[in-house]
Amino acid sequence: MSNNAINLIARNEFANIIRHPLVIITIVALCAIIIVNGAGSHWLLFVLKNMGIKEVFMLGVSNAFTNTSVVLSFLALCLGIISVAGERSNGSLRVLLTKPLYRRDVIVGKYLGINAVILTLATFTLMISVASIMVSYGGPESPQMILSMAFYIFLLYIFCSLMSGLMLLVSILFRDISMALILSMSFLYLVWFVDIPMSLQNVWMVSPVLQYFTVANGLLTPQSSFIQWFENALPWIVLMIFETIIIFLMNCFLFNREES
Amino acid sequence: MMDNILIVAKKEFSNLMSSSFVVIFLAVFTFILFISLYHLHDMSTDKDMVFNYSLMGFLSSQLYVLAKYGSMVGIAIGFLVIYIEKQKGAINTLLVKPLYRDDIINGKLLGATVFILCVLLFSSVIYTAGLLLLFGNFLGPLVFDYLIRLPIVLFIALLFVLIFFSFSLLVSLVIKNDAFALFFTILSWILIIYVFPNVAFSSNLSLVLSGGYSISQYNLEALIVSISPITTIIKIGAECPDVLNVFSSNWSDLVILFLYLLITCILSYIVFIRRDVA
Repeated sequence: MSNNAINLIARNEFANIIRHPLVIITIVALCAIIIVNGAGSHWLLFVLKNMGIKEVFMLGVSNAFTNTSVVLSFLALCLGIISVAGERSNGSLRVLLTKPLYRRDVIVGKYLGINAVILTLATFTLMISVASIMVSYGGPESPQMILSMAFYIFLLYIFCSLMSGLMLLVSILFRDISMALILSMSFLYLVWFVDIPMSLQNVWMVSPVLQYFTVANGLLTPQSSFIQWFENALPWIVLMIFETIIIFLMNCFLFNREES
Repeated sequence: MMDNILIVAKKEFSNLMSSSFVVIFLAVFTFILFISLYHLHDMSTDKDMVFNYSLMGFLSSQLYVLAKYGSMVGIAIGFLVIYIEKQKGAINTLLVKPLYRDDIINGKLLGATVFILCVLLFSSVIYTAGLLLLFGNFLGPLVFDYLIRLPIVLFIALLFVLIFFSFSLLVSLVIKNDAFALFFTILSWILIIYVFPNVAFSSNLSLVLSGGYSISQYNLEALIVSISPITTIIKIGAECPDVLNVFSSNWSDLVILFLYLLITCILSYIVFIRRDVA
């Protein structure tokens, strides 16, 4: 495995993705949602503060949490598809594979490139969100919130990385881009938009969205201390990281096997 | 001329029917219907929840499920109608035949509409069978009343699904890159169905536009939420006392849905007539 080759592919992937029109449109949509939330906080957070609610700053951030999470996870799904199925359909993947590169370098480079974009966007989303609330309301009430927000970026990143990894897997398994697109639509609907019966909640914990919500909800709407939250959330965080690594290894294995 | 439209419609219908995507749609739709039925069953057995056994309750939940996932199916079909033609190069062949472009788009719209109706009909049969299995004691004596109301539920769901189908068709015609066109349509769907009706977003937007809490802010919030057609579907389900009276009691909501459909259809029509698709 050549680090130089992986680095080059990752940088190229990052540059390609970040200029993609879909990423630009999604960033515009995210900014609109976040700025509306920030501007609305000018009235909402003061009302909540007057009602005696503590740590309203975090409530302001969490108000945009569901909307930004769904848009960002959708983008992560798209990146997984654009990166392999999209390039396979327009022929650029074939050109890349004729170069003196190992296939595993190609898939690792692509995965790192996508992850770099996701991390950049997750950080950007939270920065804009915090900045807009700071302008309209004021700073966070306690320094612990900064730690919570850093963890939130990490969670959002792991969640989106898992989603893009899954779609990368679909793109590798189904060579036809239209099939990958239709499957990604169905997957997005199933994990985000189906109302789950209470008695199926335990079974449905296999869904990355439910795992993410279980962990992130406690972080953004603090009912307990950060340490308590961390103790409860740690098994889920480890599970999400474990799933991401497994999916990544499966992607590498299956992409390598295509050669033979 | 009518013959040409029917020929194109038949071809479109058979293209969609023979596509392997149909199996995925139907499998996912069936799974979602089972989850929805299980949800209803859960609510009826939960002592803490007040479950309203009513004919309209069952029909409105069916309308909501058919419309919500159906709209996703509509988007996929709108995309596939153009994608399959582009892949096979069939549209070029079709355009050199002595056919008006109007006939092609009318035929495609007709064929896809019949296909969507078939998908909704199939889903409705499964949902009804599930309802009879789970709530047979209640629904058994009312089965005739249920069945005469079902076509109206299907009509409203079809109207809703066609809005997203024609929007997807429009975007696929305007944007040359297939994947980008589909992603753009889904992003729009998320914003329309999920973000706009979301209380956090609509209340913040109305606060910003009206400059603080006031009567006008509440009116504005209601207006923002009502922009989404899914709000109209929920409103019909919640407010209409009997779906048989929907044309008299909720006619304005149906007009809104019809207008959305008309606008997207006319735009698709204009774009198809004026642009060279290939």
